[in-house]
Amino acid sequence: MVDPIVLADSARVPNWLTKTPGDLQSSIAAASVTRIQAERWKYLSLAKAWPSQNTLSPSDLIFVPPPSGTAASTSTHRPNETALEALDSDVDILSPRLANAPDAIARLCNADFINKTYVQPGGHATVSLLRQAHQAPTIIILGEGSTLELNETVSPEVTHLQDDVWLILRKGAKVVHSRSNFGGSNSHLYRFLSVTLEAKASYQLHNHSCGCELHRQDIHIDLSGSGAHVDIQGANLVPAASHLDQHIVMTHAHADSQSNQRVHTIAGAGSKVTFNGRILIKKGCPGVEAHLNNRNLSLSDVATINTKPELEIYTDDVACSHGATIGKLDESHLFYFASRGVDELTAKRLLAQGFLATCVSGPMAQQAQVVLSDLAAAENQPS
Amino acid sequence: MKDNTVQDLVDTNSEYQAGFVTNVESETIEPGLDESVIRFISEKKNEPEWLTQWRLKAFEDWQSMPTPEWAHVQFPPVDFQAISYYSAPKSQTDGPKSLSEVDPELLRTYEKLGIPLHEQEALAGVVKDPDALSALQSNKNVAVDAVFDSVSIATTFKEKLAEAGVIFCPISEAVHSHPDLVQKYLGSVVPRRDNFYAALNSAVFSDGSFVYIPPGVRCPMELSTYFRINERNTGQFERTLIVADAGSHVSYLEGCTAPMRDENQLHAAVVELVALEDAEIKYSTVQNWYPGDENGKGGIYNFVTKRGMCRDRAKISWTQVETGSAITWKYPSVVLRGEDSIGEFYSVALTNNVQQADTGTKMIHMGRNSRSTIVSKGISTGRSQNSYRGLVRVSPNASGARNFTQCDSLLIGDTCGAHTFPYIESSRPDAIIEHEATTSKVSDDQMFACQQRGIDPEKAVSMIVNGFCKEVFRELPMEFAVEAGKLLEVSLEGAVG
Amino acid sequence: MTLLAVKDLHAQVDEQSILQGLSLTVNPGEVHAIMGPNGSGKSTLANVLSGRPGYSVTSGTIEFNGTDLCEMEAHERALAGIFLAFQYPVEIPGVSNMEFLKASLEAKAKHADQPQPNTAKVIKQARELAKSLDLNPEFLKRGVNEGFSGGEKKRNEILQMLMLDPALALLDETDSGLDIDALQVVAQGVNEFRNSNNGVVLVTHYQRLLDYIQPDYVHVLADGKIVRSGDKSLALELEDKGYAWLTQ
Repeated sequence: MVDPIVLADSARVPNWLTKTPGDLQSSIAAASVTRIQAERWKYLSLAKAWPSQNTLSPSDLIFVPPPSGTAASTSTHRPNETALEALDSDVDILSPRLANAPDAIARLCNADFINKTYVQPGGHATVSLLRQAHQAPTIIILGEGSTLELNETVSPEVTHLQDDVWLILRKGAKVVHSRSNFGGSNSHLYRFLSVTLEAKASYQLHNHSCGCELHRQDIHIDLSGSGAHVDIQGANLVPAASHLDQHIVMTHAHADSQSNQRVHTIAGAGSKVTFNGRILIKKGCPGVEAHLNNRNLSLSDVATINTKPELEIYTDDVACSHGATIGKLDESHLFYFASRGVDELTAKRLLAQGFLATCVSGPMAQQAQVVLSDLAAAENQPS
Repeated sequence: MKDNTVQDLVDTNSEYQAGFVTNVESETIEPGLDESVIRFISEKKNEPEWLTQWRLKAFEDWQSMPTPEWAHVQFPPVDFQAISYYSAPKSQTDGPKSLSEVDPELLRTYEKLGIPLHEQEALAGVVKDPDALSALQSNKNVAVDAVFDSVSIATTFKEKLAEAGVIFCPISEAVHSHPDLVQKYLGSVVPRRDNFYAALNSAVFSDGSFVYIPPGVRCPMELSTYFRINERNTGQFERTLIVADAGSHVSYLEGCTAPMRDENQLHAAVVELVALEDAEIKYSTVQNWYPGDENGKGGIYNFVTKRGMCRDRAKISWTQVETGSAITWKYPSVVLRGEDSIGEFYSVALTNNVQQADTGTKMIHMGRNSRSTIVSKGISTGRSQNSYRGLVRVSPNASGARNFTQCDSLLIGDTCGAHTFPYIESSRPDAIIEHEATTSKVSDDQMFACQQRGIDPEKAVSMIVNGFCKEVFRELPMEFAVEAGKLLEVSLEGAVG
Repeated sequence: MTLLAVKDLHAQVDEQSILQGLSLTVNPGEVHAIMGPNGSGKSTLANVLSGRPGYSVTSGTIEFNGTDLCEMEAHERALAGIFLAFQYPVEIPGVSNMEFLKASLEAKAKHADQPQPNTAKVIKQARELAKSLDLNPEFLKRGVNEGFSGGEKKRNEILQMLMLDPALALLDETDSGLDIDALQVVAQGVNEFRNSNNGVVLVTHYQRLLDYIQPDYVHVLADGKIVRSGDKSLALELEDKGYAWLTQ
């Protein structure tokens, strides 16, 4: 096996981003007022996002520059020339995404520096990222056949976090990605994740979230090679009076690619939950399989749950499905517990934990399970 | 050996059988829209002042409203000044007459469409299959209101219906004969400025049907309206209002066709249904407006607002079979205001060639224990785009609300698109909402299984598609179900050559 | 006159050559069993004969009642009298068994310039046949093969065969996945069907089915051609010795 080179450096913004900043910025401004953008913000109250500035508009949001110098940079090796060149050409892949993620692109543009990691072909790396505050954008490129275990943790002390992660998986690369979005009760998170997969690449996301007052997560995944495979498991617990807003766009741009998503969410009292899962299958992509299942459970009488699973399909020979449910705990399950002498509160707690547990997975599952269970139990206390 | 895949069959174009033009002398006003046009229409119909004012207010609203752009359809902007907003056969300018006085040319038009307006044959209006006809002939009839461009030319069985206390007449007539009812309910479900096209309709609506079923009455026969656009460069802006008083029951059928013309024609209708306590309205549509030719030239823009409102324990059921129109923009909806009220939406939408459909429903749950069911079947062939767009909203007061949605898409050929855009918004955690969607194609295995039993490819596709739509066809009144199946077959014949 | 004459047939699936010079002659009144190890091309033969898309003949001829089958589409072959009992019958949601049967019978009648079948008679006949095949007649109202067990699907194929009364029936591993009772029911159906005017080709992996349906000929297929032909005793020999001794 080839020895991996892991680079994390503070190299300047890549050429393509600095070349024509004027044009780019106007493109971003234009993209920010498109209908797509308007709809994506539909469910999020911006007043809540920036309580200090009630009049903020989406375009203001987009140009919030991250404070400089706060990004964690754990520089290890200087990259050699070849690796840097490869990196610069790799980064070009990001530019076409402008229309879909103008805010994230804007952050890339405005960043003082970018964290870049390159895993050599056939190599393996484990990267752990602790999210503490505003982060410089992170770009991770996996060479052919390489593997990566990526573990991201949000520190509960974070009050305001904006971050971007861009993953590029070359042919046959494999990523197991865990995200523990366990913020504190004051945490506001705005997270953007972009994943591009080439042929036979495989990407697993174990996405766990709870505890944040406000959590907005955009995930864009492009399957642009034959045999690419994506699996997402999401377990979310939204505490009382909090807000979770998740948008996942799964784009199948190549034949014979597969994706599977399962997202379970529990909404606490007075919370607001939005899930928008879009599956797009482009023209000429036969043999695609794409499935999405979103289930939402509420433990109180006041909560708002919006879910919008979408299918947009331009190829006939595909197998697609999505399902979404909103509901409360099944009476017959509760009765089953009662008939065995278990009190209602315990029964509810166990059922809620079970509901989430089915979607808790990956290397960080154990930690996530503990946090989620504790919170589920706390949420379930009579108020 | 010839590989006869489904794809190979998606080529030629079928004849649109309702595409002929009727030669009658019409009174058609110059294209264009301003206050004077609205006053002209209102005067023409000798309307009371309140209605004229209502129209003018709608016109004012409309001018400040943007065109809706969120639908998954694309078309060049409509020039609203190039449309004539009123056209009526000269022979009909004095309003509807008795059947014996209707211009024979118009009667022939409807006969050609299979809608004879002679009462003894009226049933045949919607039933062309001899088997189904004979099966039904014995037990009931269908009353027909025939709307030709901007006017209603005949309404059948009025007397027989009157015996039961049922009012079924052109809305232009109801404005005079039942002003209280019209004034009370017009715009009560679809407000004047509900959306761009509804506002336009409110300003310029020409004719349509009015139905009132008195308390506790079960309407003795099916009611139906048949809409026909004939004149060039005209739009059709009909308005239908159905009021089912407490505990009453009515089943209503709607059919539509237009001649084949090279230009796009606008059809912006509004349908309002009011189901008071314990009432039930079943509204079925077979929409076969001219879809345009195989290159997308011509065809109807079908931009329609249909909505019903249910009081306590009332039920409204929409069933639609959409095979026509160049563009369909249509969301028959139910506002479930009452407790234990029920809303249903069953839809088959088939698009071929370059047709575009963005259709679905809105179920707005406001009453406790209100329930809704949505079953949508989309079939795309050719280069068409077919989208389901549906909203299920549960308001904070609708405890115990329940919704089940099933959306299935079938793709025939790899140049079309099938899309599903469900919006599910719940403010009641004790609501139970389930949504499922699937996408599939007519599999080569299914085709081969049929062919191996001697069934030719065309018949096989139509049989498989019919099977796919069965859950919806089951909801249609029997008179329509047979027709719908045949229409689907004709529309698909275009797809499978 | 010969019913089916296959000469030096080469055929491929997905550009992979499967049949490599197969010849077979079936006369009216004959039952032929085609046996052979997995992957020998048994099912391919059935599919090629019935004209399944994806299977292409690269050389050789197939004549059925004196006409060349190769240029005919699947439904034309069916109308000519070839029936395939599928190994894996497909589900067609929403289309009831009865509708499917009716459409098949109507196509057949139309092809033969005969009057359309009487619906009531068809229903009656189908219900009786269903009973004789140990199927609940109510199944006729359900979607084609929708939610059927493996055994029900196979019996449904036999029911269709009996209703359509083809000149040549190809049974593709109809015995697989059947318990002994179901196997007897299916065999009884086939025995009822066979007469001096029609032909039957049984594709099977096991000798078991031949205990109930007496074949006139048994052929062993290996690597895409018939390597041995014989009578019923060949099947018993195979049961005893396996296929290896023939294919080496």
